[in-house]
Amino acid sequence: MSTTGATLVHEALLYRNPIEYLAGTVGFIESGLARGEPVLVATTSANLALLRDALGATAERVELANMCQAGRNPGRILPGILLPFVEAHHGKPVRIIGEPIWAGRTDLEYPACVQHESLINAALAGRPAWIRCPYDAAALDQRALDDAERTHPRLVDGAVERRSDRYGDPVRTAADFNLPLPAPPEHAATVPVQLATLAELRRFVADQAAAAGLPPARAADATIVVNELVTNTISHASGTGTLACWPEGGGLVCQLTDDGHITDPLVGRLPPAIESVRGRGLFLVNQLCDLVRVHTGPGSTTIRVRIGP
Amino acid sequence: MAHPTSVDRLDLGDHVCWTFDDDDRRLAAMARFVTAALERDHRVIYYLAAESEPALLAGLRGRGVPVAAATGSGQLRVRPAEELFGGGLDPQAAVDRLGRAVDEALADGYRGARIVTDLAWAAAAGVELELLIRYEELLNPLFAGDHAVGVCLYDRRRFPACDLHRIGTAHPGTTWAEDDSVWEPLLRMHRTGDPPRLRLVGELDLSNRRAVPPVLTAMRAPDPATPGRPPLVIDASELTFADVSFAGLLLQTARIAPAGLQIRGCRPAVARTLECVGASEVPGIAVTEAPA
Repeated sequence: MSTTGATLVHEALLYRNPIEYLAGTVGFIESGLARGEPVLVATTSANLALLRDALGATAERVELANMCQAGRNPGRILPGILLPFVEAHHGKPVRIIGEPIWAGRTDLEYPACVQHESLINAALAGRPAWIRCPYDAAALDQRALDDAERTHPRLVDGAVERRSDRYGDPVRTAADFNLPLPAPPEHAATVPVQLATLAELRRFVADQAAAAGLPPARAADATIVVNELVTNTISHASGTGTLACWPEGGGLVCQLTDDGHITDPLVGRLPPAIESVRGRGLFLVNQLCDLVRVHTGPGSTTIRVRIGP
Repeated sequence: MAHPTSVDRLDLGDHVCWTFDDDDRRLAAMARFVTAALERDHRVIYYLAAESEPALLAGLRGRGVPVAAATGSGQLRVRPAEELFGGGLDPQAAVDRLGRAVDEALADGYRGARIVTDLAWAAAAGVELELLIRYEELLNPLFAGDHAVGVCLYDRRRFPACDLHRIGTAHPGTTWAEDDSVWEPLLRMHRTGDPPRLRLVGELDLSNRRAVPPVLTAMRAPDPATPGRPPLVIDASELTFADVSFAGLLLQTARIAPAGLQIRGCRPAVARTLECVGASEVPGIAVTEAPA
């Protein structure tokens, strides 16, 4: 398709092998650069290596990010990668290759990935960004490919470029992935949360983090994260909730349940203005966690975060 | 309330919300507080509301306080809360009156002043909650000057818990729990005027969120826009935790403090939070970390 770059283009690229991957990305990158458009590539380690090889010296003119690290937490991709890149170029058209969904994504991560893909359409609406999201059709299951059609207004598959008939309202699609979370395991340590015991709660989380084997800096991150989540519970819900913590694969998982309701689907995904004191909590939680899952509805919210080593 | 012995940990510079629901334990704590004042050459000014002066003095005398000598010398002053608050609460006027009482204690040769205020007055007078919180907020710059310590008595039988939570946030420390024998204020603030410097000791979170902003405002306020003025300095070397809201407050402060803001000696958790809110990209803010 031709684009003037005046507004958001968000399309899924289906590929089945490295040749198809490069066919769908290299030309896209090079023609962007030829038009003077800044290009960002955030993709998996394997595809980064592939692209570096194919682009040669041109790779130096592209901003490269490892999505498996920078975008491990899908909730961090918009505020930590995409929006800063778009904003750094002050309204100039930009091109982005973004691959947030790969075959190794866990069942727990997956709904957060689809929510992210969907909310790109809302968060970047009207921005002059052309975003192409590669999907490995050979490795991903059909469900992921179907969902890609729901979250992308356009699809690219080989020579075929078409409008997606299944694309729908991005906030509504994200809401379809507002799914219940499994209960904490029986061995989880559980405490009630309230204002009067906020400092004690930080001590509790620091102990749990250390017991889970997190290094001191990440244990400190865990206390920062839980403090912000609980602060939201106390400020916005009825003021009490329950926190469960347990170790998982060298990291710490914390799950907080309260009676609040998060109604803004973009909360924590947009960088707060310097002047704002509010709205920073979930933004920071997204920055520090490897996964943030939220299940929210009237009268009940559960947030599950994972802090890896 | 915290265990009565917790009051022994209070010192000049502290401003605490002392909640209680048992007058015997409240009197036990205040007797210790007054006794410590007599030992340390501090004046005590006790603003009464829920009890009569004879009842208070009898309660203190029964707990070993040499009341006659202390009131006779002027070291212990008992006053009705109306004298401080007047007919209705004007927060700044009440704080100014307390400031003059502290100055007078120092002029009389005492090493400091201990102010006890029974806020049952506010409950009885039907003072609007936000006005009461405003008064508590404005007290922080006064007590952070290290010449006085303030104990604000809040009877849990007179104030709903949800109101006390909000009132507590305007104090650096609040006694939340029953029988907490290891209680001490979550935060201590020590402020010096020239150069403008604020030393923060302890932790900063939602439970004391509204205590610090008035101090930062007061530290900025008297500064005329003269060139060569030193920046505002926050000594964070003993600040073990600060939440993201406080980090945001520092960014705001840096933008409006004419000579900028230096945050010195940050410990790792505080440095991390500042990093996450983008402190390094804000002009006027300089963060240094504690040596490892």
